[in-house]
Amino acid sequence: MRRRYTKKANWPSKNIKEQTSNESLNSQLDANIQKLKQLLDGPNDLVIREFLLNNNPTMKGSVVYMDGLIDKQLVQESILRNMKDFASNKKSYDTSKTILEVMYENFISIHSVEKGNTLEDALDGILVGKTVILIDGQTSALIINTKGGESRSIDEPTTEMVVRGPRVGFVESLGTNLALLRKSLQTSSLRFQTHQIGRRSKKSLVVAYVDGVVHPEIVKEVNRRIQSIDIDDAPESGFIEQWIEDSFLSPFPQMDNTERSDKASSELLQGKVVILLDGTPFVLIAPFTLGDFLKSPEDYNERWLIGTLLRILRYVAAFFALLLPSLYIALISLHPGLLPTDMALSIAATREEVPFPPVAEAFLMVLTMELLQEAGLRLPAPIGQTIGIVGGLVIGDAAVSAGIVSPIMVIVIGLTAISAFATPSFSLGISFRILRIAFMLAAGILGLFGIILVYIMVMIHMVNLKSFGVPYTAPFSPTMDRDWKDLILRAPMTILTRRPNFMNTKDVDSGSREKE
Amino acid sequence: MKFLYSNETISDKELKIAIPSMIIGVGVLSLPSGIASVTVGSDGWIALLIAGILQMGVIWLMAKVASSFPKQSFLSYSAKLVSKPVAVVITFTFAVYFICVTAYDIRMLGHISEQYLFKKTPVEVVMLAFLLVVVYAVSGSRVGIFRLNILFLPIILIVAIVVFLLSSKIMDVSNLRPAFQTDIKGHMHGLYTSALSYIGISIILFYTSFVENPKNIPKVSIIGVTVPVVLYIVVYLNCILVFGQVGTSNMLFPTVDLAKRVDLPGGMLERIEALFFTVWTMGVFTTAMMVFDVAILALQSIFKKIKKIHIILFLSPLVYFIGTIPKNTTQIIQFGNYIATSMYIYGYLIAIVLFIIAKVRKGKSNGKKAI
Amino acid sequence: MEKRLFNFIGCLLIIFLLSGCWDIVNIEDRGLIIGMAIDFAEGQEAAENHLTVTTQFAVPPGLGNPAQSGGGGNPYMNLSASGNSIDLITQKIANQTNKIPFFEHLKVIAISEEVASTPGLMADVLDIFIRNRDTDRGIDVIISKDKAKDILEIEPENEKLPTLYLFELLEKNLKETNKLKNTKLGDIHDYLLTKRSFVLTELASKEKLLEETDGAIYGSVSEKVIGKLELNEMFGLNLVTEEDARGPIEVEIEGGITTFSIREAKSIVNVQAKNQENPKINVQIKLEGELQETFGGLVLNDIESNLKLEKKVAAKTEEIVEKTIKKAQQEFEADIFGFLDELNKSDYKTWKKMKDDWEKGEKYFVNSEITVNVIAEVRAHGVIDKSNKK
Repeated sequence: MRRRYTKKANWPSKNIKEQTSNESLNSQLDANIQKLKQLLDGPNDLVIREFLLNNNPTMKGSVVYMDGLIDKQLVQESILRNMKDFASNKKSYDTSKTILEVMYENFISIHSVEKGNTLEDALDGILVGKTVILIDGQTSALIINTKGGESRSIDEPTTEMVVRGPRVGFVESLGTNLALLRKSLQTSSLRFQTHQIGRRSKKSLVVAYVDGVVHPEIVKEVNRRIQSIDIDDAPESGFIEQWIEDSFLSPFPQMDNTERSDKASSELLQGKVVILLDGTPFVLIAPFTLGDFLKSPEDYNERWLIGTLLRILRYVAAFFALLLPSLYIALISLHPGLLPTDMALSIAATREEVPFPPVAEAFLMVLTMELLQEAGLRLPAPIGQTIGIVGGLVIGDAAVSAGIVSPIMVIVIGLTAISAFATPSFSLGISFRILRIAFMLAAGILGLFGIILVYIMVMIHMVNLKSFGVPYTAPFSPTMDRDWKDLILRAPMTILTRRPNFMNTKDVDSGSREKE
Repeated sequence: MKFLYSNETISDKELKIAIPSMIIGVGVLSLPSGIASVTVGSDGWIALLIAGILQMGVIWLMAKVASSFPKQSFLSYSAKLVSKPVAVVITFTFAVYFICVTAYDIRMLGHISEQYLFKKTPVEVVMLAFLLVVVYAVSGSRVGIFRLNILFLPIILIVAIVVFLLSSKIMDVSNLRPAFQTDIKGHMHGLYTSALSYIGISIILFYTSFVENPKNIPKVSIIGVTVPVVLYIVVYLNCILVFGQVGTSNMLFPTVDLAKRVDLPGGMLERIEALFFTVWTMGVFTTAMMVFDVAILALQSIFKKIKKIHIILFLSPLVYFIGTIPKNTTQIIQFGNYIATSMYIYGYLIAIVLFIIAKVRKGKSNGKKAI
Repeated sequence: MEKRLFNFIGCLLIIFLLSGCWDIVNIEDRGLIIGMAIDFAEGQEAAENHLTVTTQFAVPPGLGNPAQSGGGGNPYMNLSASGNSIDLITQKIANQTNKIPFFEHLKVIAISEEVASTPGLMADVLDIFIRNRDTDRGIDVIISKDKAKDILEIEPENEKLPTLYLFELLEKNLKETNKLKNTKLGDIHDYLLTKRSFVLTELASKEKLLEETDGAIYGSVSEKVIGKLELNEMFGLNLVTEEDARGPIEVEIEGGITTFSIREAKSIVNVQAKNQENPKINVQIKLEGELQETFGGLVLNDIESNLKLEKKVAAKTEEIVEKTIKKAQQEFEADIFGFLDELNKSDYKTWKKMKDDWEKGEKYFVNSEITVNVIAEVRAHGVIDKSNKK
């Protein structure tokens, strides 16, 4: 996988739209319009508004934009109306300037205006919601940023609820997201680097980082990998993640995604890089290590003691989510001697009627649970709850009464499911689900010994795994005991005055206790 | 600004942890019994301590030799000291020993798991599964191996401490008496037995070429040896306190039996020996992994043209085959003793010889050129 | 890249398809053996076979299942078979049941007095339990007065499984009164290795109820059970050997019986063997406790009456302990107190000279002079001075 990057480090940007092929604009307005229509196949959402300049019938101009992608009010108030003024205006202008420059200086009251010289510029502009002004006899066009159209208002993200914390989540618009990030991180050293992604559908992608905090190598590496992306379209940041992650064979996520602007900004200050893609509220955070995945932004919003307890609880939950069913299999099938006699007797009594061995029983229940989870996810919220009740209560109870599974198995599976949901990161939760199956299989073959072998294998995999050059197991190993203050424990805020050591940040201190 | 993580160097801390991870393995499971059978009362700790101090001395010698040739492989610096052909032979012999130790570790693990975990599962399957995991580990990066040690060693030590604390309920302090009654012969015998459980410290000769800070190696390796010395003494005394000297000396694996006598508080689990042994697998794993890796390293330095993965693929069946040679408990123990003793003598001899030659050379060159 | 992925998946598939599940025996398919009894074979079987072993299997459904109402049936199942070695017999028993015998939950082994009184046999029958990895060193070993099998058939009122009843009886209930000896398999292993005499609890049953209990002395010289201790003597033994002996001591004072209960007891044994012919053994016992009950007119509100009670308790305890010692020393010539161990720990060189002639040969133990000192302290007398006016 690593080889891929070295090969494609400087991937030549292929000319995708062969038809336009950097054709420069014609001086004939009609020819340009014709060409644009032809390229887009004359869709009916393409608006071409023609006007005359200085009431001169030989001087024609056109305003071209896509209906629905633009901010209608803005176009009407700031372009079309001004154009009308311009057309009826009889004043004379500085003749040394071209007519476009005159327009730009006197009539366009929009902040972001560019000049485009090729048809492709114009076309790309139109497709992302810009308005293009073409004038007869000019070989360049004004491309005015009038992006708009329908968008969602800023809401609390539904995937990452917190009890305490800002109720702000990213939305689908990149501009808004950048603004949100700027708002929550008001520093001049916040940097945005923009890339264009996609062969056919060009999307903007922004790499955000805090200059002076992040290690430059990480930014370089992220940019390098992003440049290697070559896909038709990136509808979601997940595409980006899968394209640039270190190992696609790994069950572990090597980047985190979040909808919360406060989480993104706090990670930026920890020396991480945030990747924002236009069109999705989910931004990527890299590099991300195992320890980071078990942190939740809320840990810091509560007092340290609560934060610490929640962290420990989360580690216990991770342990349960991974190992509980496999331990059940191992204890029941292979090592009943480990159970206290009373418990062994009562388990044996409950299992007497169960026709399946624990391995089959456990797989059956895990499968049921996964189905319930998947079914509940795809349904509207009110029905989703019904599924929960039908699945959890009715099936569970009926399965026990029918003697298909033992009640203890139901407890184990229930506990596992709850623990899996207590993991803050959804993507880590999924990898736990995969590994859980591996552990169960191993337990079914070799019992506790199988479990430990799989555990060792997972560990071997993890120590060899990196996320953008940062070892996945840092700071457990390589050991950076200074970072342990904010790992399983969450030390009081006044002690957490340093940025993570394992991120190798340029600026080490994030605060100081000595300040008066 | 240099990025912190590189793939081919080892920090002091990683070396410090690698040494105990290397030493602690299957040996400690049967060690208390071997010591208790030749000493009286609780006197075995003396032999353990002296053996530990001796180890420190030897590892210091080795580290001294190795650290005076920073960033050089064992083959290249021993070639400088004792001509190339001799160095190749020495390196190759080391590789053979390390392969045997790997095989012994894997066999012993299979054997003990047959005793305490399984009844019908063939020992070959257990060994194969374990060997495959070891192979997976050594085919990864070398730094990964050291990082694994860091992840596993604390767990092993914590488990040992937990067993110690849990067994305090069933300890009988009077078992410590009589004290200081063992005769010299018993002590010598105990010394020998305990020394055998320190095999593998010769890895220091090979790993120094990866160490960032070669100057610190002697200090760091002595600190590293301290951990198993303390652990051995604690485990030994723990067995004596619970079973008494006579009881301990009559068990094959008293450390595992110790866990068998322990119940978790609150009666959650009884007889945690299966659990204990399972966790201890990690300790055996780190040993086997490192010994195997050093064997590969040694062979790699001789056969420079062969790829690492090919060496691994060639060695794995060999290790497996050697591991299956001993037929029963007695033979396994004999096999272990034989390897340990001969490797011991060999490793020490080489260390001392190299050290003396290095000293003499240094004396000759008389500071003209620091080696 | 794809090739690697396929190789990986292929390897995984092979591993799963080729693997077996050798050791999987589900908990409900195992016959959990919780108790065993060892007797001599009887009747026509006796001709060919030597021993009869009875194993008690727990039958979990019989224990009742909270999820399913009822359950019913016998909570346990006793199966017997005869043979010449324990292992062979358990194989025979395995043939009688549909479950696979599972020994890891074995709690109690009962040996009939008859078997235990045959020289060397007790050590032999216990060998398999000490050697086997399934069995635990914490198993309780008891002697049964009559047939050991009957012990496994008692029907206690509050417990469904006789073995668990016995186990808990030994572990908990009688720790309060300290008249039973809770001898574990691991201890016996040590005793057999050091050739030391010891005491086991002996139980008898009658009509499915436990009837009487006392102690059986295992003599290391004759390698068999050689005699009995009464409950009171067991108490005396425990005062010397156990770390935290508890229990009541009855004394007669002020014309009535007063009970003193031990809260804490400590015994220090001191063996002086400068003179080999006549070793001096001193047992010092320190008791702390409180007044539990009084029938006479004893009022503990001054120092004097306190002292008086303490003296009485001390004298009574001395009497109990001395009686036990005398019985062991003179009647059975067995050092059940572990005085030799004490000598080993305090004076290794002398021990080495004397160990082989302690109980046999020169019989140093029999010739030793044993003194007992008891110091008793009354710490409290309840929450009242007296309960009625006399």
